[in-house]
Amino acid sequence: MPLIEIRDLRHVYNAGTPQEVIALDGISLAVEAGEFLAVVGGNGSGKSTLAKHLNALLLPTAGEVWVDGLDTRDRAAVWDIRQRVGMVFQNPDNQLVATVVEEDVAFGPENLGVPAPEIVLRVEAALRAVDMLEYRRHAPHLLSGGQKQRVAIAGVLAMRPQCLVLDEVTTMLDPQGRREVLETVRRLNASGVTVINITHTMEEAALAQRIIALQDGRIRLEGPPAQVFDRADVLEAMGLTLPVIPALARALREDGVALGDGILSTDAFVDALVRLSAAAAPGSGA
Amino acid sequence: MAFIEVEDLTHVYLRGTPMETTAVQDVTLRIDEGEFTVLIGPTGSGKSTLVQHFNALLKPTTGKVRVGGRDLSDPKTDLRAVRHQVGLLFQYPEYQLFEETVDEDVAFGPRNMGLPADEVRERVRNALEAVGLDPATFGPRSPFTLSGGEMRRVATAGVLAMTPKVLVLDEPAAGLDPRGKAEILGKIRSLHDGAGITVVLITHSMDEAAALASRVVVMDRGRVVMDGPTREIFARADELRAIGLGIPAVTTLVRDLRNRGIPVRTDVLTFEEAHAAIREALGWN
Repeated sequence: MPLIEIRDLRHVYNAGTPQEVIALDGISLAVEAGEFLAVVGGNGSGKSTLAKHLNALLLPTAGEVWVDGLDTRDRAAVWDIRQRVGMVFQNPDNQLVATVVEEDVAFGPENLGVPAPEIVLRVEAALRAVDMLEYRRHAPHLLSGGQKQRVAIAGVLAMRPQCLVLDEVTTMLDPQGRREVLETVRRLNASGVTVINITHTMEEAALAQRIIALQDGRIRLEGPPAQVFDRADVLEAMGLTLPVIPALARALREDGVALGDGILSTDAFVDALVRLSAAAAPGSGA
Repeated sequence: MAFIEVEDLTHVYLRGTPMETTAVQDVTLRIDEGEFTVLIGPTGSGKSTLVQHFNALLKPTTGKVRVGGRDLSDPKTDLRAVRHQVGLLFQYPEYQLFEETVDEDVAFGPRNMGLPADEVRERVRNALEAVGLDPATFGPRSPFTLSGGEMRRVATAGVLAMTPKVLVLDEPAAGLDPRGKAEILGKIRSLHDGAGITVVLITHSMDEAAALASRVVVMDRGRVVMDGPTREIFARADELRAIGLGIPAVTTLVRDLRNRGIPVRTDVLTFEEAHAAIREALGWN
């Protein structure tokens, strides 16, 4: 059974008024436990609305969202759902509530009624998982953007969720902060946490196992990154662009350079070009 | 000639309290008329604090700032006139839109300058056109019905309507999707190339900096640690990485290729340059 199952989800804001907006228009999607999924789309494509359905911050206008066998429309299940699916948002300054890092991380499990000795263990484990344990007694407002986002992720981890939903979490970070957060997310996924990363940074989407691309509240493209990036024309029509490395590989392929398909990373690009030039070199034993 | 001159500028927040922080330290910098300068630096390196001195929103703790030859710390200097010359667009400026229509919002600045109504109308129309929004379509709309990219452009138009000589932009593309980013950055570039506006732009994106700037200024912990032509700055990859920054993705790629024995030139900054350099290395040109 998938961890999250969405069936024909529709979401309409301000239904029946002149400001009516159809944000989601028939989304069906299954997310398996342990998956790393990226959701991409232009501004206004419905990404953030979809994210808020994953832990019952929004409820369907029509259709269903199931999380680990729980229906988000079932009011009695809301807290169980939110414990299973934790969200982190764009602005690190709006998410930290306490004056000391470890108190901030303890906020979630305290609200779940976790016994104090266990909270201590959870906070320590969560801060270690995001590599922020040495900052446990620091004031959150004195941390860098990347450190704040990692503390926000730790706050979610302390609730022992099965799934982490990230809504544009690197948008406000500098390059170092981005590297820190993405490396943390990659490590958490490798340790078994399901990750759903909502982003319009295509370089970031390339790190996922699967991408879904939204346009006007519908899924327009779906598949592994290499397959989705193969549809550059469709992506461009959606207001998105290929990441620069796959775009460069594509331009060279169109020139006739036999680089091969599915190049996503700098390393893969370099390896392919080095192989190609070794094969072409005179005296290479051909 | 230097239009903005910063001399030995130091800015200390909350001086004399336990929270005292030196945000900018001993910065000396000249920005010439017509330049396109990009300012990069890790979070908290003092970029935003520095640029807020360019139109006297902040006053130096010590040091001097001159704009168009006028000393901003001289009590006789008309700071309103300076603020009309140096337009500052903060991060996420769409949150600063507040009027009922796009026209009214863009008109706010020029109206405050005491201009006659027909000149205000004229400026609003020109400013909206400059950011690529049709005045007839967008003027009467509520700013709050626009997309993120459109709101960002309305906020930019609000600054342009004051016809500044210098446009200072703090992360103008942050949070926009790739199309919105390309739109706003393309408009800023054409304001510089076409109208000759001096631009100072803060960004976290090395790719953006490489594509736009003729000059890059790098800040770290309140100080200017590098300042020079874009290509020279991005040749200093190790120093940039050491302070938590980086180099453009295509520059990393060609350097990695070179390290693996591909004879490719490494002084590339953009997609087109990387494409040409790799073709050249493969003997395709």
